[in-house]
Amino acid sequence: MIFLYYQIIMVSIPTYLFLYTKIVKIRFKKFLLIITMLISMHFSAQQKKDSIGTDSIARIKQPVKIRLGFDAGKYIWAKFQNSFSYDFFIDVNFYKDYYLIVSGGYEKHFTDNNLLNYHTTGSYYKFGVMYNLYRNWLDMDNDICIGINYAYARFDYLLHTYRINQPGAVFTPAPVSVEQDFDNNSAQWLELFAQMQVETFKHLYLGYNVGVKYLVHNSEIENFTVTYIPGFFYKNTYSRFGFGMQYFISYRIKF
Amino acid sequence: MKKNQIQLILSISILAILGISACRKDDICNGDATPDLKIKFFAYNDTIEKSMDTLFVIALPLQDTVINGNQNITDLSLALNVNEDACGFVLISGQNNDTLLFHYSREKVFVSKSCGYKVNFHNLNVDLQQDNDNWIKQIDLLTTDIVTDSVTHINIYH
Repeated sequence: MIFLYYQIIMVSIPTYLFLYTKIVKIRFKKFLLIITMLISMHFSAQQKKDSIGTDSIARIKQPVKIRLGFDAGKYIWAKFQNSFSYDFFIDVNFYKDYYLIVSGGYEKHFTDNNLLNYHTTGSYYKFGVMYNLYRNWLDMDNDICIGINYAYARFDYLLHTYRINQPGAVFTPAPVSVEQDFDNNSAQWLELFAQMQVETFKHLYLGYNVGVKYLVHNSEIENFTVTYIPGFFYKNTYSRFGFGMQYFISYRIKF
Repeated sequence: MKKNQIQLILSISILAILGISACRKDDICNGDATPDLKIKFFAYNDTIEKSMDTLFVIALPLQDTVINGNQNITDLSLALNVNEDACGFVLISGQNNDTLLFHYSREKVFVSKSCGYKVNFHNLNVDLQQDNDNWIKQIDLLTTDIVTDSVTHINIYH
């Protein structure tokens, strides 16, 4: 429940900032009108750009934009969960509205439910491309992107204790302590995501990203199963799909 | 415009995929857990089932009530002790106490992420403690392996 509130707060901050920049430029007070303006503007701005055609402005070479980002939401949330994680990314605008994104992270995640108590330690790397759907006004530099990532993770499990599953037990199953290692597991998945970044202070961006993940491959473990994958979150026993959200801060490097 | 349409299609398809991926089967245990010991009651010197009128079962040494039945009881499920290789139950019919001791070996099996580990029992042994007046006349051990709940493991004749 707390996680839900946390997510709502984290998502609303960049959304509000994004909308606030709109409110300053337009003089409409009604919030609903602003929303409709945004939507219609999204489509009409396209037409304006197409009508410029071969203008001298369009001929100015766009400088390559590089951004370094850090997943703040994950880092902070892990602190509450008795875990540790960090996630960095590099964003390169290599052509018009296309970005190349490379990210990597490390996680030491603690799971303690009624049946299993273990640590997941591992790292992951993602490579992808994304495309900016949003047309900025003037010198603003926000983006709404959609993209695809390919991710690869390597991780270990350390099972501390387990309890036997026996419903209706009279002799309550006691936690059995076994420090068992399940090493060298790997997983690969594809991510399809949508992302929004807002420039807050000069060259500092705040953003969030939602994505659908599809687990392409995961290694088999003897007498155990792949449960938590760093970067993917928990793997559902009956499904290869996953879902993720990220809240990040990034900084643009100027050349 | 063509580009608008592509963007619209892309956004809608992403939302659709997000929506579809949300419809996943809940990751809860499908019920594959440690099997209970199954007992059926029969009439002594006969093969017909004979139910117990009242049956009161206590687990040793905890003295916890397992069953307190007042109807016609034809089967009994006992959850064996997974922490040790032995456990005992007192089956009380009316005023008559009969103590059963079970000895077995435990095999730990991993089921799934949501079910965790379960125990299969092997080399099952039953001992009836003899006293002046046993209401249990005979015990038949149908199998020494307890791997599933769906078969009867022990027949008790009374």
